[in-house]
Amino acid sequence: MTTNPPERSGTGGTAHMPTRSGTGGTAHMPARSGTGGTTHMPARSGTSGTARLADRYRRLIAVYPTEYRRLRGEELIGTLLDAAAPGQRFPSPADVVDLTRGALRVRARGRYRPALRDGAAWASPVAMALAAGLAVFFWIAIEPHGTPMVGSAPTLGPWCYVAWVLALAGWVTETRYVTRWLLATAAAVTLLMLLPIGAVHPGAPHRPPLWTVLALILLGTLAGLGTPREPSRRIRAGTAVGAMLVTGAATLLYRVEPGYGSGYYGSVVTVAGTVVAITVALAFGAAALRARSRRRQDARSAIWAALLLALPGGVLGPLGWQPPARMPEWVTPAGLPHFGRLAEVVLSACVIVGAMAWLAAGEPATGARQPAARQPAAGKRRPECGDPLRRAGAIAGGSAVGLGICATLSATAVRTDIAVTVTLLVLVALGAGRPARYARWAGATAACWVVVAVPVTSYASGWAGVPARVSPLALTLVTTLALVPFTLAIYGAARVFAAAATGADADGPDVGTLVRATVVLGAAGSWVGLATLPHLADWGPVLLLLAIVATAAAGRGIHRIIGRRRVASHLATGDARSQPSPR
Amino acid sequence: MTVPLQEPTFLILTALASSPRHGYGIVQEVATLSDGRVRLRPGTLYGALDRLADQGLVAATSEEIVDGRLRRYYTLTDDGVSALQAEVTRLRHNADAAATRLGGRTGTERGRGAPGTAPA
Repeated sequence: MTTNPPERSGTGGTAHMPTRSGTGGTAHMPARSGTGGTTHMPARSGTSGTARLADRYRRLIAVYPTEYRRLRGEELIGTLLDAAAPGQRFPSPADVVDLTRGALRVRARGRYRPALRDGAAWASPVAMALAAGLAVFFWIAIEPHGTPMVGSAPTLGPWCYVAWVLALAGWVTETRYVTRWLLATAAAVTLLMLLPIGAVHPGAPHRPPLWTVLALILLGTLAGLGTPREPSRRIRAGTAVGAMLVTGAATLLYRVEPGYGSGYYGSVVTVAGTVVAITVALAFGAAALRARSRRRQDARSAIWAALLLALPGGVLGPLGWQPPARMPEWVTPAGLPHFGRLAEVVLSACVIVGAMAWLAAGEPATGARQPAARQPAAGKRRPECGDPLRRAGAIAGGSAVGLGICATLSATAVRTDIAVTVTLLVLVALGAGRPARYARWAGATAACWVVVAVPVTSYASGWAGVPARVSPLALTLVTTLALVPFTLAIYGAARVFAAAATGADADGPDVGTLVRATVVLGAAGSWVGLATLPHLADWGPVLLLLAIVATAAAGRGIHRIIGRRRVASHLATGDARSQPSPR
Repeated sequence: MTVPLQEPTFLILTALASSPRHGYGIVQEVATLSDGRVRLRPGTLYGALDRLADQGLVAATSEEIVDGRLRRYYTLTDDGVSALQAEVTRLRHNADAAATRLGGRTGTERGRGAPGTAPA
């Protein structure tokens, strides 16, 4: 009732110290006083056997996060040693299990965000309705009564569509356990579609296109992650009605839309993408309404729900898809390749994940309320606002190397588009500055490029094994992946500018960092712009989706900058509440 | 605190009710309280303490080094006391209700089941 507990207030601790140890113990207590103290604590407990056991425990608790160990490490080891049997020399297997589980829990806590959990719970019924509704739409639009319009052979689509309808039936009538099993089964059946049956049996039925398969699996995963434990009758009925609405709206759009071809590669996928984009827009609308009614936490959850739904939405809908064989000219006169559907899907995924990161950065994880997360270790560098930018620079450098290796493997003459891409990647890497700290990121990225080139090459050749050389088409597709480092770089630069805009604290960027961010933004932005703008007309619903997400993210960012002081004061009161007075 | 406490959590709060204790002290006290049934392991214990500290039910009060080992003492906060109090009330109410109903049942059971019992 009277004093603050020293746990969170740092040095205040010694005043309330009951002198049990008689030697004024806490004065020598190195735990939170910095200098990386705790690891140097003398393990001077009698026999060398105990010291050795302590060392073994110390190695064992390395599974915990560094910050956590700094705060709790010696205390944990002390308790482990207290609890150890006399003469015990090794940690027991039960200790190993217990500590591993504890460490996993701590690590999960650090990333745990209540708004994300609520957002997933809200997105789940919507995702279920979309998955089942779209499956039925695909079925009746493309393959009514089993007379498909793709080529001459029926596709395997109805097999997985019926599984999604069954999952919806489970959702409406069954328990969560059964529903999840049905969802997993539907996802597995859908995944089976990807088996390259055509390569073995040339006459075998086709599968639905990769993108519809991916979208259904993503929607099903989302539905399964947030399945309510005991859904109310309203949610059950609402999901069924929602699925019917999805089918109805998609069928209506399909009728109204002029259409430019039959089958999956016609307007069906576009219509499906439009329906998802409209749903995402509605979710953002709900978020805005909630924000206006001052239910901030709810608004945050609704934004999470909208972003989660947008992720599968980004897979559906681009127009203008043409089979590779009909597109011999892979390099436009501008020197850049004609980026197809892959670019649209990759960029939308990057933008949506970036928006999620933006949202997460503004929301402290619940684990951050622990003192360990709030007080950076003395020996450890404080995170700076330019860190994402430098990391993105290192990744861009690694990408330049990786793309260079892929281009060399293709053994074709130097292509303008590759040269431009590599040059801009190098420019981003140099512009971001101090890449040495993130050398490991660069190395891993370069390796990733080479590894990713394998499935892409196989995809480019119609999944007919892995060709010995990277074909020109495959090289173009691999180049498309440069969207990832470039959007990372744009995100890093945006973080710097946002920090400059909020500015009040001492962590703001200096002039040098701002200049670097501008250079990086220019280089990365010009590549993404050149690669995407000439073909924006082909983007269809994905463009709509990205416009919605970008508008919401921008609105959120402005709101954050304006409301920063208010949020800071709110957090301060939260902290005060989390420091209850001791009895 | 509307959600019922889980047994280990309940026992940890109970162990801290009378006086502040350090980690191993809590382990021992919980073992005593549960007649040796619940043996907390350190990973579990500190996971629970982190959670309780986050909820503001428990706070660390002091530290000392004994025999080269760091001991941090934990105590119940005011919120922790009221949470434990509420749980005690809830459990007592449930136990009373169960005892009352069982009392009623024993009567009927005895009256009804007498002929069928003791075949040997």
